[in-house]
Amino acid sequence: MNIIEIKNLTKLYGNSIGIENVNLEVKEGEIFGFIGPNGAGKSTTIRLLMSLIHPTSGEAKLFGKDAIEYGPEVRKDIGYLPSEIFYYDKMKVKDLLNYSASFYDKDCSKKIKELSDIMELDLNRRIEDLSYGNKKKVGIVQGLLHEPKLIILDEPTGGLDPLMQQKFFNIIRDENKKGATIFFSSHILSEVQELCNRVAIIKDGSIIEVQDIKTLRENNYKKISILGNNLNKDAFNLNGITKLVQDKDELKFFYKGDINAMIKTISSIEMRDINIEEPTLEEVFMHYYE
Amino acid sequence: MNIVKREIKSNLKSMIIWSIAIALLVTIWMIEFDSFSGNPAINDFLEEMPQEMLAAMGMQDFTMGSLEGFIGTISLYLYLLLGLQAILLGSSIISKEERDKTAEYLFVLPISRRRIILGKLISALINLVTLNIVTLLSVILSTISYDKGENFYSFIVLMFVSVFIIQMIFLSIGLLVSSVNKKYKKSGNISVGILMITFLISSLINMVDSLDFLKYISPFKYFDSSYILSEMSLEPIYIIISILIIVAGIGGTFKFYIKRDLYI
Repeated sequence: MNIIEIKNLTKLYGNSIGIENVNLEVKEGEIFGFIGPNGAGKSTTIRLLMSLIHPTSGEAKLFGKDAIEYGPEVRKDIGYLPSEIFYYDKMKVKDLLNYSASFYDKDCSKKIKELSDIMELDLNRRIEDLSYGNKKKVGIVQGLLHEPKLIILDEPTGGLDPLMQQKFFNIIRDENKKGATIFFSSHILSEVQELCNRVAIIKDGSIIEVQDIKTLRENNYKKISILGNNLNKDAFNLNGITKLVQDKDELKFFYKGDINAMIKTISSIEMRDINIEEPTLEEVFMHYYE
Repeated sequence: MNIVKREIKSNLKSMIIWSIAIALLVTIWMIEFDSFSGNPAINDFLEEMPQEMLAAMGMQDFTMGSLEGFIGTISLYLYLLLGLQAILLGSSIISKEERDKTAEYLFVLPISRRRIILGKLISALINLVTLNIVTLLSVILSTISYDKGENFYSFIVLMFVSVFIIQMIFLSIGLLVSSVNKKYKKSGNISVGILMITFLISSLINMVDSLDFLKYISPFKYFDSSYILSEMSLEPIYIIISILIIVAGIGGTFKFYIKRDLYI
């Protein structure tokens, strides 16, 4: 069964395009990544799903029901973590969580306790006194306290330190094991790679490609730069090298292919320094961007 | 129900401040009246004032010497103040979610926008009624020691029914303005603008007879206290117009806000 089904969804803001003809299907139990640079239309798509804004044309279905018409009903089973968290400043964390819980027809107190223990959240503080990262923690607890069947995350890790980020990912994995479907939007490739089964790549409002994460891994580019005195560009004639540039005593290129072959080539030359790193998202998807 | 409670709580402080301010103001006015009433010089002074100037302040038809006359004079200011509170409340109760960026929290909860507006509307009504009763009580309490005409209490009750209708008119205008407008700053300005312009129109009508036809667009002219005092009733035509405005404002709020994109 498709938990999310988006058909030809378009949102225009006046003359500018929010998203255009987006088609997506997310199956039950998936952890689905939604990746693209800032301003590509990720948040617009998610806000359409949450019926915060209305589509210009096309439709979005959640659990097989129209996202706008059955909004309140489908939202019972959705947990949403927006990229920026804003709550009523004067409220205490526990009051806010209880207020949120009061909209669901079930007892959420156990789950609130469990989640806030994991996230080390102080329930007695006021929202206005919380740091950005702590607000994010409140957002995580609030988004998951009703044990939703679909969890929608919009750039969820900003403001979390690496330790909390891992705890958060573990929670998400647990919820997924218990049957929840995850829709994970991000502009950071590594976190999507860590968590997701499939990804959709969005750019300038359109979906460019939907890929298995395995395929994406195989497409794993390395960004290599070598420093040395007598570097010879021609030594690097391996398959899979792209964008080879020589700048005085520095060689830079991207490599996709057998890493052993690359290491052999590198070891045969004299150099001062080497740097092998993960390319940024833009660089990985550069063939889409050209 | 949880929304009603939450809204009342979040507006409680401002409601208490308004209540205290209005109660104080009424008390000060009555102390002022106390110094007028026994003093024939005040009436002489008022008679010498240019008629237009009195008209601008809504004081043309009253002798300041009688209690009813005095309360009739201050009624315009009660309309203005409580109208201001109502239109600000109406406009902010809708637009604050976008202003404070809490819209992305509230409107993804499993509850329809219709129910959210309904909850906010109910809490606003409770707010208006409370302020109305506080004002009514302060008038009654601060006049308790005065000699009153036989119709005093019917006059006061009719006047506060008028105040309530005016509150409702401006509440629904405020609601409508902010539900149509995506920019919350603009909503507040437009709301206060509407209130000031209609008040200005009512002052102009008092001064310039030929502008009398404008009385239908200024709620401040709907329930003139001199009419209430002489007829002991409210003019039916204005009750009908008021109901039309209120229904259109609240109906429009439901219609437009439900379909509108939220500003996030």
